[in-house]
Amino acid sequence: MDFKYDDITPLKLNEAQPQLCQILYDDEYKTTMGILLALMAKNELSERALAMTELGISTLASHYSIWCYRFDIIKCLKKDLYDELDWLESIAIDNEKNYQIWNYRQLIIGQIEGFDATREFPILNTMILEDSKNHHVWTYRHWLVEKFNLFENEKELKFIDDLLDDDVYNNSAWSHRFFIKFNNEKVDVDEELNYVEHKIRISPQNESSWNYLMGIYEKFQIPLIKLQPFLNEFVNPDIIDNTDSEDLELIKSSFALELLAKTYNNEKSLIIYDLLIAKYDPIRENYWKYLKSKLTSN
Amino acid sequence: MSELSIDINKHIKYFTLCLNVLPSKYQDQDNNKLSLIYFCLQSLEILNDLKFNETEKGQFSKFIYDCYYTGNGFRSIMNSMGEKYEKPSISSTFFAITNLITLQSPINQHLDRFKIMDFLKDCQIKSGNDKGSFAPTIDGENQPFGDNDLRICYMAVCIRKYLKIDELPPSQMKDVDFSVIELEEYILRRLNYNGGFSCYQMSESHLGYTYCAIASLKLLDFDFSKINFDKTLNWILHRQVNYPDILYDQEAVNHEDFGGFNGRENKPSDTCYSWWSLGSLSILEDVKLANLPKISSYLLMNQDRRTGGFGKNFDSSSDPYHSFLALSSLALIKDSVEFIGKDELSEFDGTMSITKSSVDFCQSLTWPSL
Repeated sequence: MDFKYDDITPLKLNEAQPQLCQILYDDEYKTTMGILLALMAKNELSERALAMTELGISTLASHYSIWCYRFDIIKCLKKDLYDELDWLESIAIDNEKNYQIWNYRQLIIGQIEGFDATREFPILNTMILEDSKNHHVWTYRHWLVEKFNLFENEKELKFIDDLLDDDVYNNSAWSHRFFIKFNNEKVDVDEELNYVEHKIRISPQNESSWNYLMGIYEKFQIPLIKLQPFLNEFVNPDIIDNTDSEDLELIKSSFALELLAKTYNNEKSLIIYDLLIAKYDPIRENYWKYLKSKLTSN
Repeated sequence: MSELSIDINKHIKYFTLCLNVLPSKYQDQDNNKLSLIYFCLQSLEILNDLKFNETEKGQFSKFIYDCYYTGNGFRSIMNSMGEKYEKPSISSTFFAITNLITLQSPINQHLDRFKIMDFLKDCQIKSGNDKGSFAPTIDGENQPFGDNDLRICYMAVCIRKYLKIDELPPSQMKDVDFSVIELEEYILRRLNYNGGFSCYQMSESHLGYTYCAIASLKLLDFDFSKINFDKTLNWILHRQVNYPDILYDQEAVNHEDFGGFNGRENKPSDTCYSWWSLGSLSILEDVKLANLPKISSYLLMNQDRRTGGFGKNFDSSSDPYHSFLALSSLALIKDSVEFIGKDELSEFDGTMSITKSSVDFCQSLTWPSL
């Protein structure tokens, strides 16, 4: 539907002189924003104003005042909130980096009584498959799980399993898994330990899975010494006695090495830090030296 | 070795140009223009080239003061959409005051610091999971409105510091201040299993939020010995990217990505994260724990020697945000690393994210008391 705005005098965008960081607006932007600001200034809550917010959002999606205005119009005109969610989906795909879309979506969902949260899965899955580390989409998913208590939802668990099967390096998925699993009193810790250890065996040089493992150790206060047999799958203990060995097969993960140094916490750790400095993680040389000095000063 | 020098003159030209005009592609940041001005003014400060005469200073300050709204705080520069839709916000207030400080405007004579604190108090969340945090603005009933996060908390804490609320006698402070204890508790609840801080409780840790958390605690005079931050230090240092091919799969990572910092595990490096990491390290322990020769050469290689400025990575063109954070990083570490031109950079404050001379100016102001 085409709307007429002839009766509206577009407001002038900031033209003060002299100014700082003056943006050289194009004509389309000046017209769209000028009309939108004029409508907002007189607080017109109408169909044509709604249409203009859509144009405004397509040029300046980061401005939350426009979203507030749109929300007021939607409420005033008693618009179907599910239509609004559908509209949001259509623009989310083209605005991957925009977080206002997801804030606004929370606002809309908050207005719907008896909302079925699993309705959100298709769009979230589409967005995450498009960009599997999109911070805004993951943050929204986090909100949804918490708000609608989806911690034990089968689809949610399967989604995370599938993502990690597909890409074991996906840190967002690991982080979400930790949130889902350990918010739950009924979690089977051994099962989770087996899961992450299996994933580490597939790709031993993966910071995300090692951090997940250490997160479990800390949360359940498991003594670090219990980790040693597992670490030795990736670091042949012989290397500590014979550091001249050139056999790379002896070490499969720098993360296993540094954890081994932590579990030893003695002069063997010093040898390990030297290995990290010399070959396996040289960029953090100063940090390994710092840990060595802390160890020897104790 | 030409790559180990900073092209001061090119960067001055870049920021001088941006401070004058920006192309239309910046339209989508129209409402964040106060932040673009901050990146440009502070960068020119770092480059020792902020040389306005008194008339210019006055005109530019007026341009910023025009966003000062009913004494409570600042609105964005797009301030003509009517009272209902243009409330002051914490971010506009933070960027506006920072810009005025950079312009050395006597804000103590123009701003009512107690009313600004009232606005911050209205924005602070009083109950629920996010208790202690700050929403970006308030609604018609003066209640917190919008999604809170650690960035907004950091800005609120900086405003409190600019206004020297922490220097009030305790008897006055309790009436004026927001709840520092509740804010500290909120920040610590955002500490994650891997040592980083996140947007929501147990959402993915992010280096930017981690800096905001640590710098806020520092500015609130939090006793760091109360919490063991070893894990945080470890996580931050692991953000410096190096994928030795003796350990990493060929397909999983880009072996050429080397020396910069990423924001999260297994992500590519980006120039802006050098600031969030080095700033955090300067507070927690020492920037020298990072590999400074590698980060400085990474940043200097990312200079656009044609236009000036820095992009997000080797493939992107310069923008004020990445350029400012790359310059801040270099200024922060210049005494611990070698590159040609480093002595032309100003001293920079790792906690307040402004030059030492801006901090000194701010400290020199005497505010009216209650």
